[in-house]
Amino acid sequence: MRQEHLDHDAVIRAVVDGESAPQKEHLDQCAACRELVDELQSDLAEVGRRSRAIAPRPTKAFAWSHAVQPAQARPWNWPRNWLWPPAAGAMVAALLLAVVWLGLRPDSPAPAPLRLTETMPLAGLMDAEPEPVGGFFGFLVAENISGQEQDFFSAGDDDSDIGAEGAILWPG
Amino acid sequence: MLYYRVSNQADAEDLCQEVFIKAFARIATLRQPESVRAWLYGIALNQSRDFLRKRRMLSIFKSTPQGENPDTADESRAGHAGDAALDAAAARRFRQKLAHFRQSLPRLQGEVFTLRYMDELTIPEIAQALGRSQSTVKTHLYRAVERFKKSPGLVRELREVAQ
Repeated sequence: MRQEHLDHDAVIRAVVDGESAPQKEHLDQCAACRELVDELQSDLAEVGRRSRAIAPRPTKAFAWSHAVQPAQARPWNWPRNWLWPPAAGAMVAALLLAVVWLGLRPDSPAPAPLRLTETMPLAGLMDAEPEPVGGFFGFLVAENISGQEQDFFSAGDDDSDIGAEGAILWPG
Repeated sequence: MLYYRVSNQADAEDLCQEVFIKAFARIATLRQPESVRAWLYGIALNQSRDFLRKRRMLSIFKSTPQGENPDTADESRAGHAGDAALDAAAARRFRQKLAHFRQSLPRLQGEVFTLRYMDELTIPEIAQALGRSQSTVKTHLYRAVERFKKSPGLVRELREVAQ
């Protein structure tokens, strides 16, 4: 049976793969294909041989710098390693987070839950003198609102704490 | 190999020196001493790439080209021992055609072709130097050889001189 010759791609593959080419068995038996592969390999080898032959030789001697030292394992240097920018950045970020967290913490403990411990007659509350509003809100009220209107903002006017039985519920 | 990449003898010599200095400084990072050639070529490839990038940047601001013209390089070295076997005109013609062929290839194909046939590295060594797989290297080499086969000028030039 007559074997088919290698096509163009197979010849190139045989050149690139060399001795490990799957076409090796065919190349061992087919002189024509072997010649094609050898010719291309020879041309490529000639490129290398000629390019090396015409490459200029060095004109100056190699100058070895005395400052060059081979890399060696360096001992742990805490200031350098700790001040390494990413580590320093992470430390600063952690510090900022801690400061922000401490700053947002409430100074006083959370208020106790509302319990029905004591009742106060509504009439007594109505008679009680209204407490002035303090702080910045009180300052704004005092500066900008008339006396009659100020009573409206005073403590005791708010009836939201009035219980179902008409009594104020106080936290215990 | 550096000369064919930077096309300038003085630059190639400087780069070669830098490659060996860098290799010496990093010798502790060489894990497989048997693959020193591929490792050295890897450093040289990175150095030449950096150099060419810098040269391209500088050429934007300079009117004169930085690279030596490979076509005229032979004339300045007419009496050079390396050119003794070939006459200067033939060497110039070959260099010109080789440069033209390499420029016609995509970057990676050109690198692989140069490393395989001009620097005579094996495919595993090329793969290591370029940081690519062997199958990738073979694919690029296959395409480069195909283009080489189709470039009649370079092949004819080679055969004429060989006769």
